[in-house]
Amino acid sequence: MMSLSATNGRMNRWSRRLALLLTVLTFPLIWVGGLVTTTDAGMAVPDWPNTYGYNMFLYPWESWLLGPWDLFIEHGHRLLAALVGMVTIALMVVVLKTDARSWMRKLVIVALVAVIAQGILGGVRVRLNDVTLAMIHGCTGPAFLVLTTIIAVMFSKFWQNPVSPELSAAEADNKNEQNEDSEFIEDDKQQFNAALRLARLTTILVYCQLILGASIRHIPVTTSPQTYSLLVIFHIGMAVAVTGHIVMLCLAIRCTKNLPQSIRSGAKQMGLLIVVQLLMGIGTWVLKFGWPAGLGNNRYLADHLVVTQGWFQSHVVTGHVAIGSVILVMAALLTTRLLRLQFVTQQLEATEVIETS
Amino acid sequence: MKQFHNNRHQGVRIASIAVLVCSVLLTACSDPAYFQFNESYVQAAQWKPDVAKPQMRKLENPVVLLIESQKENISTILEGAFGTPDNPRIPGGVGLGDFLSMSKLQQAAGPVERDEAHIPRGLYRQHCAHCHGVTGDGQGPTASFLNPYPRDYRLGQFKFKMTDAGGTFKKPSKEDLKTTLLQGIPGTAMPSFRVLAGTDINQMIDYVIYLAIRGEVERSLINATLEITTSDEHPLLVEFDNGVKKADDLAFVKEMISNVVIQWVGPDKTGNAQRTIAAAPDNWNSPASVKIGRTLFFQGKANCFSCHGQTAIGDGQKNLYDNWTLELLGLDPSASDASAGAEADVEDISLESQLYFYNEHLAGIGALKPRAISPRNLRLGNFRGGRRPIDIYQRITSGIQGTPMPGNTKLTEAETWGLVAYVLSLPYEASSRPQSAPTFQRDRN
Ligand code: HEC
Ligand code: HEC
Repeated sequence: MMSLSATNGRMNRWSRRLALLLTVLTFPLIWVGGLVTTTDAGMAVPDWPNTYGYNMFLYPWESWLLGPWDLFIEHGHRLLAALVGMVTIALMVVVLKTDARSWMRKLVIVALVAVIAQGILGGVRVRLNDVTLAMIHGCTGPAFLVLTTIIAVMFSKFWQNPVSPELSAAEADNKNEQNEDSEFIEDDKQQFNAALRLARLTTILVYCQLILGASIRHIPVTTSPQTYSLLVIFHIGMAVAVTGHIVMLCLAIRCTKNLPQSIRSGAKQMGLLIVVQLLMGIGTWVLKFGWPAGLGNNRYLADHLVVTQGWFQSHVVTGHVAIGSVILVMAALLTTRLLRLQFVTQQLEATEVIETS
Repeated sequence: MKQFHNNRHQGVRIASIAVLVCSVLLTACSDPAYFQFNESYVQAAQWKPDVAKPQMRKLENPVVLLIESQKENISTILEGAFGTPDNPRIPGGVGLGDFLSMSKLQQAAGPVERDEAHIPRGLYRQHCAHCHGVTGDGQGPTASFLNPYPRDYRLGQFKFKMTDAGGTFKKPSKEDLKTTLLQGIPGTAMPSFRVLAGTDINQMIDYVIYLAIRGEVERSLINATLEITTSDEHPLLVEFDNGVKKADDLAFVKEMISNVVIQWVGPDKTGNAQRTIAAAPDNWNSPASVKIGRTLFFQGKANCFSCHGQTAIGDGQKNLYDNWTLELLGLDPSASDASAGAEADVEDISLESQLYFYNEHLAGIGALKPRAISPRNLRLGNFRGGRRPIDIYQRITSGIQGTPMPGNTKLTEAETWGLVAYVLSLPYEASSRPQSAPTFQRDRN
């Protein structure tokens, strides 16, 4: 316990702020990136890294703000991305200067490499005008968001002290009470492990679901209907699987004793969000393709009109994409926290063993 | 705990398969865009109509079969005349010059991008191709989920237009297509593009017409090639290597293209004129007029109930097919297109009994699965061609091309307006009052 807090005590306030800022900026970046695809603005600016021949930062702001919508979105996406890149650099500098944790130093370097790679990928996508690259660019974006979230968690209060005092007291109580009943503790541990396993699995599944979603969104127009149907059916099946896993995860966390409140509420929020996400998915379909056969056969829905790039269509579709990455981040966050908790608990147990022996 | 273990393995398996499938599919699919050869029409056309039952095609013994080199020849001719999806061409000397604009086509064609002046290119691929397909064959990626399927332009038939009159179908005018693009087709997946700039829409309209003409010419070329083909001779339509014959052959092709083009550009080369419908009489939707309409709806003269059903919910006929589907079933769409009373011939053909042609010849080459078309449920207030009284008037008098919905030329003006009024009142009429029709008519169903 002592040694753990000692490392964390040296944690720099600035790196913590920057890590938080990075995550907070990356999320809108993904949202705007989604909007770029939704409004087909990806090719609104034909060159890269310049914007219409201008250096990106010197592009006249009036033409940007007052110009066409897709130019506004695409150039805005580039500027925001540049800002995220700069914050990543700042974070790296501060961490390298102040943080002794070697894996943290590695992590911020990875983050910088990732953000540069992601920027180049976006640029190459524009230069080659390639939808497959656009799809990959869309998949790596959320992965970067996960990375920044993990970094941010590592600077959080939770990280320093995952086993809160009341909880450890409760745990100690438990131990005292049921010392003889070691089977119970074993059971508890298994419950915890199951939750951790589910959290990991959910993260993987959600990410796969994101990839599937991106392939549907960036489908080349030459794809056959058969291939596309396969992808859609897969996406729907995966939605069921993800929902099932999140429900199980929520139950598992509910049943696990001695978990900090942040983990419990995180799971609850995720459960809530998956419901929203399912509705957004249905909304996306209806706003793009109308009611699936049969459902529209009533007076209220029969006259439904799809409006390309209408307000609802643009925002619901982009929302579906963005909430997808929020769910991914939440799953990753939960997994990271559970892992940390496990690690610290094991450390504590180890020291206890050493102390008692 | 055991249960979690299982889930884990299962989940990981699903996940890895998903990723694998996606990556394989996407790398396999992003080949450059090209015009797809109309293989399903070749299949349909190779089986000549049966003499005894003109709509059926003999399945056992095709008279002639096209060989690869003949199909390639057709593709070469088409590319010479119309170019490629990235580089469209307007065939010269066929009267299209004033009707279609090359600069519009170029902006609608090609991959999605912007040029230096922020002018968009690739509008068709950006907005239409994922439903209508790069070729305009209605087989874009999303097609199989949509009902009705996205339009296959290659048949050159369009549903909603003001150019039809007097029981004859005409090609839509640009104005008609513009209305469709601006208003969309409610109740189907066809979106409204009113958010886009007007110039963008005009460019896509030219491109749709271009694709439709190309598709129709392709069909004519296939027909012409079949005509000169016998079981042991497979001549090419245009012998590009034969200096003397080539010019003649090309002149023949040009004439064939002109025959398609003339239907679009009309006599004065600027497109077909829209029909003007005389303004409705003042009392067109008076209760008396509605009553006339209701009576007619159930009478032989208008005969609406035979398809739209006793309660107008569209349940009068089950096995109806639109022309795009008839072809997939090995039936001849032109046979049913000519006359208004299309339903009679197709009556006894159920989808199940017809699917063998599709299964045998078309399923393998990726044609969409045939579906029956239902007469509209008129109580839902869904009018796809527009809900203004004159839209309905036009539908009743001119029909909906490509579908069994016939144009009725026997009705007087007052009678038609009565029907319009009745149809427009149907969504508000209680359906618990089914109209009874003479029994001899009901027996037909
Ligand atoms: C979401 C799928 C979808 C998209 C995108 C789409 N369409 Fe359609 N379109 C359809 C469907 C479905 C129909 C058939 C409607 C019917 O038969 O009632 C159709 C029909 C049409 C028709 C025939 C109308 C008639 O009167 O028969 C035209 C013309 C057309 N679309 C043009 C376009 C153009 C041009 C674009 C791009 C700007 C486009 N469509 C984009 C689905 C789509
Ligand atoms: C042979 C069968 C048949 C008959 C007879 C028939 N209809 Fe239809 N009708 C159809 C079909 C099929 C459609 C659907 C077309 C489509 O979805 O593209 C339709 C569609 C309609 C529509 C919808 C048009 C739109 O804009 O969406 C109206 C209105 C209509 N019919 C009215 C009538 C009236 C009035 C009569 C009698 C004069 C009549 N129909 C006779 C088959 C028929």
